[in-house]
Amino acid sequence: MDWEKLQNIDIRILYVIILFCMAIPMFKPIGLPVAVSENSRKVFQVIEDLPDGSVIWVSHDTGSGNAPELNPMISALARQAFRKNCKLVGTAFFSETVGPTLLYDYINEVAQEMGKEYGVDWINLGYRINAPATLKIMVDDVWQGAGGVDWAGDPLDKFPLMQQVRSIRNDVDLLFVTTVGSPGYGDWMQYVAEPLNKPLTGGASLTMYSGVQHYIRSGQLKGFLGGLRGAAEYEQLVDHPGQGLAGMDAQSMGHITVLVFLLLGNIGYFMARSKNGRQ
Amino acid sequence: MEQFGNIVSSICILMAWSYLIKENAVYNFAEHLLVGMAVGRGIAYTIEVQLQPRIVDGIIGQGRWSLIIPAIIGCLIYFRFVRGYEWVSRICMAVWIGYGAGNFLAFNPATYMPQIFDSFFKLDSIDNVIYFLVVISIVWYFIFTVRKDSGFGQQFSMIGRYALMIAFGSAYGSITMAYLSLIIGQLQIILRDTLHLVK
Amino acid sequence: MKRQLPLILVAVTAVFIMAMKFFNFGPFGAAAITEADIWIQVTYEFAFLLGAINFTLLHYGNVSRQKPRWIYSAIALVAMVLTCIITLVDGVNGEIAVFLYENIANRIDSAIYALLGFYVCSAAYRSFKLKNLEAGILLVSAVLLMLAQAPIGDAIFPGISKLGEWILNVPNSAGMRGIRLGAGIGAYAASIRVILGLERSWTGSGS
Repeated sequence: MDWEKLQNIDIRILYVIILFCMAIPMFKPIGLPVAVSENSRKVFQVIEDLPDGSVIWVSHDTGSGNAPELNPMISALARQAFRKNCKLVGTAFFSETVGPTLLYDYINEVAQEMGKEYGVDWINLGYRINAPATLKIMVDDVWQGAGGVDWAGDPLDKFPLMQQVRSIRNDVDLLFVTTVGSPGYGDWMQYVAEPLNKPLTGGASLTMYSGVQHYIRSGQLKGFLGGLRGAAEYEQLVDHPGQGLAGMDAQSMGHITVLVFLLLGNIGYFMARSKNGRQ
Repeated sequence: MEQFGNIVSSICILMAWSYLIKENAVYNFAEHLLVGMAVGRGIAYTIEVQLQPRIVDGIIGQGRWSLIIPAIIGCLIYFRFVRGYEWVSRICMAVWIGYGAGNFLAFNPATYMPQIFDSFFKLDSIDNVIYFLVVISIVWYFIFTVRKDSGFGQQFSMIGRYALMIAFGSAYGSITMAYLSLIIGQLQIILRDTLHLVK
Repeated sequence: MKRQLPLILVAVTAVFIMAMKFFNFGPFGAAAITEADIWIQVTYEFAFLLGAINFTLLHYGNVSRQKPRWIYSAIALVAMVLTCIITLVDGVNGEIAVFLYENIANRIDSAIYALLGFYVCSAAYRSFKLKNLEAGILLVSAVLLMLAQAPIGDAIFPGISKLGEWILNVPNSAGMRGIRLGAGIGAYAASIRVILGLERSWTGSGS
């Protein structure tokens, strides 16, 4: 057998294979159980332990690229928070053009279903330029940091919730941040969570999963939702399956396919090497 | 209207993914369309949601005329485009860089110090011993001012190197999962939202 | 003046921020920091057109000189102008503006980003070879994590998710902390060099 060929399969054939392998479970779901990790459980618990009616600051610091991983977390958070009559104050520091809209859409969908009103139970302050400066201002004066307007440019004095939330220091009980890098946990810890001793939790793209583990160990981050899998686990915990769980079977098939590719590449490499060695 | 939006979305996804076959005109069109739209919306968003309230409510409404000074400093950046006066734009950059460096040195230790303190804990379990040894060996690996040609120093540095490989390997594993889930997001739009082939 | 003024400004701004944080100036110190933050926000807000001007100059140059692929530059410019006008007229949350942005720009953006998913597969096939011990450790760690994080991993090898969690929590976490400690010291040193004027590459004159 010509092992060289195994190393030189047209890459486009592999692209088609991975697409098919990931699409098949969408047509015929396998329904594999998703074990809930300790980190996801911690996120759920820290929110569950809040007194009813607490204020949660949710920052959806994402662009449209990683949004499919992080959006389901926002829906699940809104569901858990609204069940406990918690208030949500949202920001989105990563992208001025995408983050605020996604935050609004995903919370609004749950809010309408659960009879929660914009401006009373939740609000979206949207994007402000330069996250570090804005965060530092908001620590003592949310209105000033937000420039006095919400994400749509409407003045904050017309929203009852904002009469209650004047500063992160005094009026916010928990920080829930979903991030894809910068601004991210570093900024939130540096300027808000550590100086004010506020609990910080949330989720991030799985690209950051291995890089935040040391923050969880040191207790600076109270639990963590890792990408789509983390979102799926969180959906299970809030007992409302959604987009996260729906994608898990496809995810499994994708992983198996990547492992098969990895194996093929290495078999080809070793066989070709041993053949060359013999020659 | 929603279905029309989904159809447009699916076409856009396929245009972008056509790059997988090879670089082509459809992909280039999509790429430049995206960049242009992002810049256009960025300008409009900043004017409507940030600049207008700042000028109308902040500076004029509240009478905070002192904010004209930072506004002028911000505008100095446009001197980059004035031939012979490019250096003026560095005044604005200097303020930003100074602010960034000062902020980092003033506020970062709050997150950095707990990382150091948390590395020194009771060595009462195998996990804790492994953890401690790995942290120390990696820090040792990154000290380049000491020669580590032979003996214990070299061996300990090698442990750090292997530990880094474990960390990078797990990072690769996580990243694979992250990127595959992005494909799932796009497939859901095409197969579920647009074609209604799956639930 | 041209070279010295920016360097002095860097030092003054940085020292001011640090002094207000480290020395106890009471309410004055806190108010001064907040005022500095607001000023910085304002400088950024008024500099927002920098990227747009750069973008326009670049693409306008391509079109006016009819450079190769100038047609794409023209598309980018037209898209920018139209989106800006539509968003300003319709409002950032207007129906047409949101429809266009969500269904075209957002979709292309996330689809291009998702191309990375395909490239990860191609990297696994083409580059991830067991060439030496280091590559072997990297490969084993990656394979274990991939199996541990997908639900199918537990179905094939029961308990592998626990092993994956252990790798993440102990060797990986310790490894990342080592990197973080090393990088942190580097970042502090770089910041001090900037403040002291030893690092001047940002002025365009080199260190």
